[in-house]
Amino acid sequence: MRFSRKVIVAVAAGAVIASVISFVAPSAYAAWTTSTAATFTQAVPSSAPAGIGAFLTCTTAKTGNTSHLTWAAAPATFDGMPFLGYYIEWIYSSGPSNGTTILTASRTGAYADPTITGMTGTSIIHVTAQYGTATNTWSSAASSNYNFTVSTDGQASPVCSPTK
Amino acid sequence: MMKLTRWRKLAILTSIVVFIVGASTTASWALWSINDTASGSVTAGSVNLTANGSATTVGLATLTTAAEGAGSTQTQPVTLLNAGTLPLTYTTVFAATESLAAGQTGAPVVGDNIAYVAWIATSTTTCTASSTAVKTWTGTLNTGTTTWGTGRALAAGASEVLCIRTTMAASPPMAIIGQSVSATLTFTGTNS
Repeated sequence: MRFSRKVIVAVAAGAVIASVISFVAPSAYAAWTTSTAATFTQAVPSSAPAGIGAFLTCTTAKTGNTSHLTWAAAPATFDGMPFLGYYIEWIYSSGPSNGTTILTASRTGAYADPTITGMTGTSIIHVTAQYGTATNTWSSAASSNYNFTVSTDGQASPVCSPTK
Repeated sequence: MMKLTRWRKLAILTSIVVFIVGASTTASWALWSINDTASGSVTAGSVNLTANGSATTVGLATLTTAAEGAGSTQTQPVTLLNAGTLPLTYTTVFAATESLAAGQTGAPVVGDNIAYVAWIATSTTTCTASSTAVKTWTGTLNTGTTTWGTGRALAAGASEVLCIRTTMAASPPMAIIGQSVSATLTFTGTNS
């Protein structure tokens, strides 16, 4: 049986095309890929809690060298977070120990009871309201400061300065 | 010269088509089922990588916070499962994008103040905030892209647990208020 030149050319062309495809196809499918993703977004409150309420009272007791400060309660919630408590810092505000922390405390009640025996200078009560949970807290942006003055020898009754 | 009848032309054309299809089809399967070819049975495999059961995008609820607080920590596992029938290797790319609060200008600082650590945990139950496992990848949620790992092998049906923990700085600056950061972990599996 004899084939015409056209048939031979057609068969040869087919073989070439098949060869090309057989080499090209594997490289096109060589790497099968799959992809998936996991996402998260972390945001902070849209604003910081405001400073706590106004200073209310300050009483002193000479015999015990004690004082009692109270302030208006902070709002119950902030940005959906519950009130957690107050962070109270008692700090020297003058003299050689200026800036030294005397005592820190946390409580939910809106008061502080500093005892001044042995105090040697003027101090300040710095109160910050905290919201959130024990492991996720936000403190008020502007803490409230209460001046608290004692005599220079540290033995006299404290003098409260009812100002913020 | 031999005259081509209609049947001869059809036979030649059919031969060419069969040759082309056969050549191309066999070659494309040969890469990942060459042993099966010897037995005469060719089975197409599949590649499918899932994260926490999703083959598309899954949200990490525990790591997502609306009012992230100072010093707070979130930890969450991501289970990567090779749900296909072919073995694969995968690459993890971590990308974060920070956003300013409305009306803010300048560069965001939220990313600087949230650190992350990530590691391969032995199981989801060991992916905890107190885990002391060696942390393979560490950094902060600054805007940018980081590759956490390349070429991690997963056999067909196998899985492993990526554990991620984020921690907000104990005393972040007030400039952080109102800012947020979105992060995406993209897992790309390859069979080759």
